[in-house]
Order: sequence, then C-alpha cells, then structure tokens
Amino acid sequence: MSDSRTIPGPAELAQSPAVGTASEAARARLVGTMLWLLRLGPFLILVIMIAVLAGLSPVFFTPGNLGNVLTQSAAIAILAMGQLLVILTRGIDLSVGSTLALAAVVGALVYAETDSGFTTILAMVFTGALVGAVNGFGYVYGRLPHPFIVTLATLSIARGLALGLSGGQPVSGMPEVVTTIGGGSAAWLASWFPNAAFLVAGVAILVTLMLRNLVWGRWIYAVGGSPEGARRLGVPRNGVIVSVYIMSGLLAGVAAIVTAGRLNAGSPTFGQLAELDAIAAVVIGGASFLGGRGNVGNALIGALMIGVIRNGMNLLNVEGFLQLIVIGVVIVIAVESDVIRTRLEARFRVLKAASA
Amino acid sequence: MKKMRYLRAAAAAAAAAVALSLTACNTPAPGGGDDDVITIGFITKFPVDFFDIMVDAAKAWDEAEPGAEVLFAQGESGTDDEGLIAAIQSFVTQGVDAIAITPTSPALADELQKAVDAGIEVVLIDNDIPDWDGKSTVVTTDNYAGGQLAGTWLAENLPDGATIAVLQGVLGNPSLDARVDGMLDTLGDAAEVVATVPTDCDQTKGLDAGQDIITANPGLTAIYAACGPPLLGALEAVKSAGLSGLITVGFDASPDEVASILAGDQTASVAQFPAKMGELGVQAAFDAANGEDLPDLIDTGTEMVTKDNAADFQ
Repeated sequence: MSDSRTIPGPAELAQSPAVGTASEAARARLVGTMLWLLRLGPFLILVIMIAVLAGLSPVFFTPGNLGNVLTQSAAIAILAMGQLLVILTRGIDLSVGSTLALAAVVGALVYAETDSGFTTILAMVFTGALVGAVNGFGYVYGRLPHPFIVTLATLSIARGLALGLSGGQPVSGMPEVVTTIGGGSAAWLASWFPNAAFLVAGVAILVTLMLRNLVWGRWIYAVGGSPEGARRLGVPRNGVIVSVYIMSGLLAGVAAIVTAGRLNAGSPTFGQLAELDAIAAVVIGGASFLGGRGNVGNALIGALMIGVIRNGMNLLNVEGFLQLIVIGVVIVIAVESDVIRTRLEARFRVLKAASA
Repeated sequence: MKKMRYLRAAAAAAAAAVALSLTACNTPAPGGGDDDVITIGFITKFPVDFFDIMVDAAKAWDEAEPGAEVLFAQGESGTDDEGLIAAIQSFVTQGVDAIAITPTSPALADELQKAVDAGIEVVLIDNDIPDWDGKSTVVTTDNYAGGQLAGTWLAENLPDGATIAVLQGVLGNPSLDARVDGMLDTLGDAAEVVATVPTDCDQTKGLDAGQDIITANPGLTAIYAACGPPLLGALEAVKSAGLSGLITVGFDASPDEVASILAGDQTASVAQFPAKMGELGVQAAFDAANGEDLPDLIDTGTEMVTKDNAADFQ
C-alpha cells in the first residue's frame, strides 16, 4: 500500500520482465496505460473542472482570476499538507482551523507589543507547533483511543483561547512581511501572481523531500500503512506520531501567516471549519483516509479543487445553497472515483501479472 | 468579567442549594420576589463587545433604579444553548421576578416556558423566538427596517446605471436574511444586483467573495453586506485591486467598521444599538414584572453611519 508516492509513467509500469509475444506486450502496455491514467484521476477531474469553468465564465481563465484561485486556496493547501502527514499515519487533526485562529491572534498581539515582523512570524509558527505538540503527546502518552478526541478538545480550547486573548474582536495590524507574504503579489514575475503561492510551493517541496528522502518519511508511511509491520521493524511509532501532529500544528501556524496577511489582522473567527476543508482536500486529492497512501500532490490538487469550485461558483453567481450542495457532490464523486480506482488498480495488477 | 463569573458561580451554588431545599419545603429563594425589590435575571450569549455593551448598559440601569436588582449570567458561545438553559434554570430556582435574555436559538423555548409557568416574566432581547407565545415582549433591532434604511440610502447615493453585489450573512438566519430583503425592497431599480454570495459573516469568506465579484464584474459600483466582517474582508479585495470610488455599506457598525469609515475605506454601515437593547430590555422586564402591558416589539432603532457622524459611534 505504501508504494504510490510517485506516479510512474506508462512505460515504466508496462515494463514486464518476460514478455512472450507481441500481442501480450501490447496488452501489458495497455494495462499499464490504464493504471497510469487511473492514478492521474484527481488531477484529471481538476483539469476537466477548469476547462468547464473556463467555458462557462469568460473571466475564469484570466491571469487575475487564476491569481485569486491561488491565494484563496493557499491556506487550505498548507493546512492540507499538514493534515496529509497526520492522515498518512491513520490519524486525524480536527484542531487546525482553531489553531490557525489562535496563531493569528497571538501573532497580532505579539506584533502590537514588539513591532517586529520576525518575532511575529516566529510566535505564530511556535503557537501552531505548541498546539500540535499537545495533540501529539496527549494522544500518544494519554493513551487515548483515537486522535479524534484530543484534537476535538484542542479545537475547542484553541478557539476559546483565541476568543479570550482577543476579547472576541479582530486585532488589526500585521507586519509588512506578513501582509506581503499573505496578500502581496510577485510584481517582479507577474502582477497577478500571489506571493502566497511561493509559500505553498516552498512548504510542498520541503514536505515532499522529508517524505521521500528522510527515513522519517518512510516511517510515516510504515506506521500508517502497516502498523504491525512497523512495530516488527522497530519503527519508533510514538515519536513518529507526535512529530506529525507537531508538523500539522506548525503548518496551521504557517497558514495563519497567509490568512492574517491577506486580512491584515488576527481574528478569533479565522479558520472556521477549515479543518474540514483540509481533510476534504487530502481525501478528494486521492490520498487514502485509512492511512499509508498519498502524497503532497494529492493534498495540493484537493485544495485547488476546493478553491476552483468556490471561485467558479462565485464568478457564475451560483446561489449559496447550491454551492454547498455542489461541494458535497464533488467530495462524494472524487472519493467514490478513488474507491473504484483502487479496485480497478488491483484488477489491472492481476491482469498485468497474468500477462507477464 | 471576573465579577460576572463570580456571580455565575454564586448563582449555580445558590441554584443547587435551593434545589435541595425545595425538595424539603417550598422556601422562597434568597433575593426572591417577597420584598419590594424586583429581581431580574439578565442572560447574554457570550463575551464579545456587542453583549458586553448590553450588560454594561443594564448595570448602569440597575444602579439608577433602586426598586430593582439585576443578576447576570452568560453563555460561552453564540450557540451555547446548554449554558443558557442552565442559566435560566438557576434564575428560576432563585425565584427571580423576570428574565431578560438574548436567546441563542428557538431550542430555549421549552425552558423559558417553564419559567413563565413559574410566574416569571420573560423578555427576549436581540433575537426573537417567533413561534413562542410566552414572551412578554421582544426588544431588538428591526433588521428589516435596518435593511430598508440601507436600501434607501443606497438609492439616494448611487449613480445612474449602478451595479451592486450583496454579501449575505448566514443562510437561514432570519435576522440576517431580513437585512438583505429590506435593502433590496427599498433599493428598487436604483441598481442592478449582479452578485449574491453567502459569507457566513466570515471575514476570510468576504475577502474571497470580494475578489471573485470584482473579477467577474469589473465595473461594479457598490457592495452591501448583511454583517460587518465580510465587508471588511471585501475591502481588502477592493484595496488590492486598486479600485477607488466603490460604495461599500455594511451592517452593525462594529468598532473596526467605524475605524474603516473614519479612514475613508468603507462608505457606510447600519448601526445597531446594543446599549439601548440592554437598557430597554431590562426596563421592559421590570415593567412586565410590575404588571404593565407592553407592545409586542420594542424597536431599538438603526442609524446610517457615514464619515459625517462616525465619530459619534467610536
């Protein structure tokens, strides 16, 4: 289950050690191509959605609007990458939306005190990591039956702290570095291209490298993909689990930089239900909700899908109740297609083995 | 705040004690309705500015009125039905003469009816429970009238051929929907509505919607929002799009909105008067306990806040 972090090309998949006849080779190649297409599932859905929206709205595929989509999905994308790490270990982190709000409020208060951009960012990221640490240690060493519980508790606690610290009101004012990262655009490249997209790309590269090149990354897949196997191999399960919750919290702090930067404030109402967006992004992007399978690309594609749907429907002035229904339907379609894909994959593997 | 928590704890303790003694005999509760002083339980949703202002006004009223004693309790969030039910129960066991409450949802109706059955007058503040007949009166902003005020103001101030985008609040919330309906009904043909987007009264969603609306409607003239936060979000979108001269009208005139109006970023907002709600609410509870007849609705009024008068609303 833990082998799908890379998407091999058709040729690679079609390579079979002992191809008997030409027709068998052709069949193997066809099966390989099918497998490859299936793996691209979520990406294809995204491309189709973009094509349809571009046809329906003349402004959708303009640079300015693509910039909007990138900014609007930036915070979800960063949260989703943190959520991915947690979900890979068969966990769940419900606290990220509240953590984002708490980090933003703490950041705004620290900035008002210190007037320092560096300290503000440090405070936001540290606040996020701290909530993540509470989640991780609470889950592992509190011997709780499921991370749902501890992260549900911190969802409530972090929101309460954010409301209490801010007195229930948005705290205005963010350092220039934060507003530039969150709300600014890369004028040197193109005036429509948001800086937040660079932050997302940076996080994506970092998380990908950690997952692929560090032993830690392999441990994460092992803990989620085969807990029993991981135990036999001596993988330090507790440490791995604590680390993914800290990462998820830390990334919620990073996402807070985007949201707070865009609005030039820290508000206790930021990130309402953002945890559900993040979880939905990971799952509709094609990662397995049951752990062990998925990569950063899945989280990014899922986040973009959510961003594209919301943006497209706003452009088309779709009524509010329909927006909610459409998002629900897309979640079902994307996940159902993932289920079908997994089954077909298994069947094609058998075919491939038979033709080999 | 500290005092309020103390009162709440005291109220809970008193409630427990009274509940125990009630099982033995029907002793009237301490501070109950036997003497000349009328006791009023004042329950608000949760600790944010809007309700703090209400509570402060009720306290000021209490100090000026020797014939009444006001006790306070508060929930923990805008949807904390349980917390408010506990507060109602504790006031009932304390034997107050009247309860003034900002209900979180119609789910409180049963508990409030029990209070009415126990001979307590109940006044609703800020939000109505339309299907519940036990209330003495409702003290609130007439949200539809507030929307009409905004619509009339927009009709007068928009140029010919104007286009307007509407940022809705939480879909299915009657007061927020009324703010939009009232605006549209008096706006008439003064502007074409080019976009209607729900925002859940959330700042980030307001910003996203603002970006999308501006992209889809480059010549947009005006934005109206059913609450303050999404309009503040949309203003960030207006700013980063480099647009000027866009007419933006919000609802609530929250401190941030007023600051934004004074800074010239936001054009106007419809102000509510939470202080008036607190004062008139507790007064209505007092009058009801004294057996006076009250009108079904006591409107605490709305007012357009623009740069001219924003300083008065700081």
